[in-house]
Amino acid sequence: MTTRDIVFLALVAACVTAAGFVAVPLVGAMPLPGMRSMAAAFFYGFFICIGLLKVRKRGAVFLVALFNGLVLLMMSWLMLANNLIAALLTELLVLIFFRDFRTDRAVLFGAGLYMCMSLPASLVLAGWLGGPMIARFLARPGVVGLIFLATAALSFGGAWCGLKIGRELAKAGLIRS
Amino acid sequence: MLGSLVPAPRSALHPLAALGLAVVFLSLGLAVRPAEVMSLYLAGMSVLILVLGYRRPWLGVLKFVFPAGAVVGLITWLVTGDRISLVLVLERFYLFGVTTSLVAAMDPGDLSRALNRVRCPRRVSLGFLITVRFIPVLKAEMDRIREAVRVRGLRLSWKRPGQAHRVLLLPLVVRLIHISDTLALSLETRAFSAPGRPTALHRPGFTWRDWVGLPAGLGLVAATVWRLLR
Repeated sequence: MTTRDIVFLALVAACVTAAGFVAVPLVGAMPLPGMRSMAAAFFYGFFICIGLLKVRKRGAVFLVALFNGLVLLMMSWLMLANNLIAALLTELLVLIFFRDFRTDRAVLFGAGLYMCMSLPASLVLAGWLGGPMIARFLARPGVVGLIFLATAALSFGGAWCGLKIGRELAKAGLIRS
Repeated sequence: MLGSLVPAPRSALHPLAALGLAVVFLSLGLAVRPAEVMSLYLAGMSVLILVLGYRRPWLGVLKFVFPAGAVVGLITWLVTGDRISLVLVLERFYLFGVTTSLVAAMDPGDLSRALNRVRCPRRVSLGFLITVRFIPVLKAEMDRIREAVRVRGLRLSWKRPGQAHRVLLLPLVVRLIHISDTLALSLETRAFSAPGRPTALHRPGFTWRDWVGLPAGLGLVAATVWRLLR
């Protein structure tokens, strides 16, 4: 990773953080687990996709998650841990299926998958914080499946939008295609 | 950055000491089950952070934590009919709030300097600092883009998301790329990649608060573990 890559990924992390600070309070009052991840999923997918289109290197998702997580660490280390676990799982799956982020399909897969991977840890945290009622609510596979599907749809939708913009930027010569 | 929401204490702990205490407090809090031990643990933590001068961030965080905890707790109470579950939820939200007040008011610059001092890779601390510092810049950029949209007489509508993508997101990403290129160039010309350790003008050091807070915090943790194991 060059200094240029690090700086760009840090800016992407800032966008992701800012989007989270705007989107999450909108659903903050709803005591449904997974809603916070769902609210921010589109923006995470979009900005991570833009980051990956410019920095098509292994570890790019991990760095965005680390920078974002270090800011969230100021609230709780659980959020950093959640981010890092999701990023490691995403990088691992991209490594298994695509080896790296050179193709657009790998970028779409990695950017869309990140938020889905962060969901299990979020649900565990919600189950712990929310007490027995939320834990019982989460024990229903249908509910968890619905939350997961909605988050995946928004996250991959955001990543697809990012890819669309990335293609226009590639035509303009701002990023490599 | 979180300082706008959570007021900073007059004198804070060393960033790494505050972070370490918050991690240990929250980790143990996740494991404590009996309500009476949890109450004592939370009371001990509250006294400690008040003694260490964290009254302002503590009050700032409570403003957010208690309403959220009350909503979730009341719903839990109504559904389960068990008053203990309400207390349980409130205790957990309060634990979250207390540990947050230790770190939320921390100066990101100080944390970055402290990370550099413990030989954390400079790229990580730089990335963290850029992430924190860029958020207000991002807001200014968005305002500028919205102003340009208004001057051109365009009206954005939720019914046409494709227009928002072209009018808001595309210029934002282009600006992002330009800013990152300029910033990276600026860093390179200031010898960021040069070998050797950089000179630090300001080094966050340990004060009496750290020498009192760390042993007292660890003592509280040890006493709670002893109580749990007994």
